[in-house]
Amino acid sequence: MTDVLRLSGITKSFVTGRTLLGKPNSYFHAVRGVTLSVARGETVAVVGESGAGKSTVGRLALRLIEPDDGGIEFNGSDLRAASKEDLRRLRGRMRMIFQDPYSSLDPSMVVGDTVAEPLLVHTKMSAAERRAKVLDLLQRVGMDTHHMDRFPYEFSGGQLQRIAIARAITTDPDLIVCDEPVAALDMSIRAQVVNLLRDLQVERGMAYLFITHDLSLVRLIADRVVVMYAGQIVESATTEQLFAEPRHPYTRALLAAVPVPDPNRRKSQTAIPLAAVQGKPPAKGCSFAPRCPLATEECTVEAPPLAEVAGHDVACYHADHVPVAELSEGAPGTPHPRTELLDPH
Amino acid sequence: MTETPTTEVVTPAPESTLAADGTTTTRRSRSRVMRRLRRNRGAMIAAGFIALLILVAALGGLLPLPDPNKQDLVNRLSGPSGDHWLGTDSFGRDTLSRLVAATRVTLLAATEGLLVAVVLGVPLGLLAGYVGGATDAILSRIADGLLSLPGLVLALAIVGVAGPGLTNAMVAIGIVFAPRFYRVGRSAAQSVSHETYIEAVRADGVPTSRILLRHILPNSSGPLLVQASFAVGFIITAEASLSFLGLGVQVPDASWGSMVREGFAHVHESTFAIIPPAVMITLTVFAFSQLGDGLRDALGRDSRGS
Amino acid sequence: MAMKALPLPTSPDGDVTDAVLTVTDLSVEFQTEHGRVRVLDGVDLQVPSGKTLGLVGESGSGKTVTSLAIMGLLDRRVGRISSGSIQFEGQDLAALDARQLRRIQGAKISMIFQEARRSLDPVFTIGDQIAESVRIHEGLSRREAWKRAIEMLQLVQIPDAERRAREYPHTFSGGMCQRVMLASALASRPSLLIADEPTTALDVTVQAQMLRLLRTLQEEMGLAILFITHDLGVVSEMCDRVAVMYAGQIVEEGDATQVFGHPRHPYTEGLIQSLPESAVARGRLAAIPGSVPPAHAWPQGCHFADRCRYAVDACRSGPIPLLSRDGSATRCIRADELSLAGVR
Repeated sequence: MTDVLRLSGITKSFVTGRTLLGKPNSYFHAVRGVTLSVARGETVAVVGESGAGKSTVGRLALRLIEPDDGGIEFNGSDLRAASKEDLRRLRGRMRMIFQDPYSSLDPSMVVGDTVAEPLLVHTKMSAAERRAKVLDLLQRVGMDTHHMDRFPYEFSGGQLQRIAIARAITTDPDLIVCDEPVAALDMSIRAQVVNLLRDLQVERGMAYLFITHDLSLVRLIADRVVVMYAGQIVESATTEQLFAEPRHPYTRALLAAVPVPDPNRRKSQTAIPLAAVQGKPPAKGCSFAPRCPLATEECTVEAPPLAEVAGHDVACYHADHVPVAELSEGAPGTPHPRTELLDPH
Repeated sequence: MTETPTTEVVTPAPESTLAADGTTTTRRSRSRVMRRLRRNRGAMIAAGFIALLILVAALGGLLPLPDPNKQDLVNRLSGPSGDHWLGTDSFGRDTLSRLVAATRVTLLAATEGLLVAVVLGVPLGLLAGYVGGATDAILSRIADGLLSLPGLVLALAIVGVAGPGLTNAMVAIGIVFAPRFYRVGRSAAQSVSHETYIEAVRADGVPTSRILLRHILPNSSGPLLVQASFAVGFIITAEASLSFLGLGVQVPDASWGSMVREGFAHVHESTFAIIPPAVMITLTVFAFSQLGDGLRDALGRDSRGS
Repeated sequence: MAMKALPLPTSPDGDVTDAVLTVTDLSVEFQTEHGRVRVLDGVDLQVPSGKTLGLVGESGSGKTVTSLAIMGLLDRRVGRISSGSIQFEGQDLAALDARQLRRIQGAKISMIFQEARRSLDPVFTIGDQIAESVRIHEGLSRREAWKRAIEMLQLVQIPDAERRAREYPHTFSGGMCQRVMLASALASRPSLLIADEPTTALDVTVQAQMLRLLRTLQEEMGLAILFITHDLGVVSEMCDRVAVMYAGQIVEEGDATQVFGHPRHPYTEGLIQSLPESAVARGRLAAIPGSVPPAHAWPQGCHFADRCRYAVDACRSGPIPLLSRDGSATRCIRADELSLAGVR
């Protein structure tokens, strides 16, 4: 399998404060040394909580924002070395779908023009050819042809997301970065859009970099999962492996916290207690250590590297020798080094 | 605090509760703005008045009125009468005829000034607002510099260099007003460029020129329209000032400003000649500012770049 | 639309438990560009004392309007209660004026919602804000109120409460703000807490902690909770009873295990089946076709009929009543003949 996208050691920080003279003096390290690849036709999910840097990774992958360091390879070519014009042309092959369909479509443009725009910009099609293609695409995503001449505000969220998807696939891209594409949609609409994305992938073989916080969705649609915490990858594995046997304590806590829609299997009994987030992650050592129930001395000295453990890539010193069951609360002999845990015991 | 909602009233936004289903509605957001504008009585009266002015300017020549330049030195500075409804000026010319002719000159001049201001100010403003950085810094310094000079002094200086005449005067006024359009365009573009749909078109590889023209401009049009409406009023005043000083319209043509000037020259003989053109200036400026207010209110609730 | 009141939920030995809040046949109308539109259509609800009722629905279903109506927070210029009663501790809230309502709200009924940070005033310390509301409702002295504020912060398990009470909201994370709002809501010892999507904006690990905290406090304080959410996972985690709303109506109500295990309305089944957890094979989900109709376009008969795969002609002929049986209720005339699938 060839890789559509390859990120290596990508890093990005944002300036959050400046001195009186305008010199930056504080930074937010959004993404720190992220390495990942997406193969042709594959779905790679990037999961993590807010502030984990997953959306920034999506934007870096398309070079919508400039990385501070690291490499981006798209279809084998170095995206960071590409000129502005080359990059603009390459954008026909890589796309993005945003979370909020209400704000990601130009409100002053009719839907037909919105869907046709990538064709106008990236192909030499005639107006008639473009129109035919747009009609075809709108029908493919389940919209009516008479919707072409309407403005976005006339549609519901689910319809708008279909339109956004139609626009994204106009030029048959190789990669679509999906940034929480169903998070803003209603429950009954979510499933429709997930199915559409899935069907389109089967038909057209494009790859998805799927950014989400919804782990139950990840299990359903992703081939591989990358778990991020505080700008770094803490674990990556195939979906089956990750859900069957999560290795990193953060991944375990995350999985244990997802509520299951079954009152007979309440999670509150099995959740892993995590300490509250205390400001910025520590300057040295593992970022997760201040919240981690397993943290030991060595975790606070040097950050664990991403290393292979039983088929997973995990950044944890304790990934290989802690039985999964022992982590859940109430299990006998639970290691509990932290005292300021939030949860009652 | 949780108790705060008891004192404030929460609006359960009926528009979101009754989400448009996209299959029954066909109205466009522009018509929504129009509907709000139509409910504003002051703005509608103002719009009616402006429409009447445009009609008079276009068809004034067809009205059964005396030649505006025909002199009748016997009947100079007469008050209103059956022959001359608004009296005559110092050369005995019919004031009503001259007022109608001046409407055309004034409106054309205002359009000229507005065009110059818009063409200079808007594209640069949108560009600066969208790309930011050094482009923005340099353009904004120039605009600030121009704005810091008193407008009329600047216009006088430009006309002084280029020579008197209506077109020169209007170009000068356009230059004076361009920084205002630059500012409004810049801030509108700035807020629009933070919208997700702009990031989306950038992500799709749409060239900057097209982003500016097809995405930033239409979504910034609301505040620009409001600014234009206010500016027309100011431009008419500025034209009147320059013409009053003799730097604008040249004899024998008339604008409202030059008519005030002529009337003013003979104010000790008759005060009436000043009144008709002065009233027209006041009403027109007021109408445009009313319309601008109405537009701003109507657009306000539509989050379209404002 | 005449309707019987819901049967009171019964305890395992068949005794009728008492309800803190009983909403009967509540209808709310909004003035819109389509004229007067009914956005709540005969809602019946009962929150059992010391228990949690989950109110589930999508946007536009009317779940938030329901909570606003109970709290008396409907904007009177736009919406009004057109019929029904809201019984709370022997009083009909729907009939009270604003001043009488204010005495009950905040003291006896408190509310927490999604945007906790916005409910906190950035220029006052956390402790002052809680103390202030205690002083208003209970007339405590400054010192007593401050002490209570600290106690409340400890109650919601904010570490180092005495120090943090002197800090300003911006130093608190989203989850912590949510706890502060809860502390403030519980300070006057209410008997009913309305929680409108309180964990929707939180990360999943923080959400799990918040839900657990709510359950603990509920047990300690004997609190009744009306929990409004769109998240079926959170409902099953949190709630004893569930009411499912669709297009302004309650379409199903019952015990949480019952509703999830054996739904009796096709919409409930559709929601459960469309969840990723219900997917049989990897990839496709069982989606409900179409979308929620806007209030002015609700159908004559069953509001869900146009999207329902079980719909027959009778479903569209007229209003469908909420039919109750064995402590649960459904607004589906075919409930008994259909065997709908629940969670596996």
